[in-house]
Amino acid sequence: MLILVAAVLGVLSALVLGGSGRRLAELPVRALWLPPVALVLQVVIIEIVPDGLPALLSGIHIATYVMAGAFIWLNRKIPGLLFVALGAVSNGVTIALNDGTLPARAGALKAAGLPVHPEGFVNSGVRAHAVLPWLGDVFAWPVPLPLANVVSVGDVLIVGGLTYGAHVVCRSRLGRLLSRSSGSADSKPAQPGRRARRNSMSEA
Amino acid sequence: MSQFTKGIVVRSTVAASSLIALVAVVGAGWKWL
Repeated sequence: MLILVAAVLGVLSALVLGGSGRRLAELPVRALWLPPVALVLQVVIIEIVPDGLPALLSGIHIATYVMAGAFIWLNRKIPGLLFVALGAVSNGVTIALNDGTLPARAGALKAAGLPVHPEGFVNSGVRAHAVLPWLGDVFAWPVPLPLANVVSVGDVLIVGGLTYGAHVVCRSRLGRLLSRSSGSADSKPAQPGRRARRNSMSEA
Repeated sequence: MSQFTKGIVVRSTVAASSLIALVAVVGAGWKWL
């Protein structure tokens, strides 16, 4: 929930700081359905059937990252998605190398008030011989802070990328400042109208 | 609220929701839903 709340606040902050909701509406997002479907799959394997066939659950978990990767590739011109992609690759590769589980630091789990050795399949947990452990959930948003949880480097990149993208796309005061200072392709959320029409036609 | 404004609200909400779902998937934000 921590990351979701941070992501929502990141998007809303762009509107609070003078960004245009109309620009967000005209954003040419392709394959809008992919992230929600991947999210449902993750909820199913973690919350509904966590004690299912481990190999199958791990395979589905990795598949959801493939779906996310496809979505990012299709929408790679959207500002900020490069950072989201880097974060996703960081999390996804680390999960893939650790049999479908993102390794977590025991100290971080304890600080966040989470069980160190839960039963059943977990997408984030302590592993005896973790690969790339520093890319796992090594940071803690500790108790007694609200929404205490563990966070990875990839998570920071993901939320930061979405927030950056929202500000640039909506042209908030911060977004205009970032666009001027970066001077990158991300500073040119080009031709939303044309792409939006093409997108709507493809969805029709 | 005009139809035009409703359209903007709906489309911006859909776009934002999809991107936030992406964050949930790759950032495992679903865990505490």
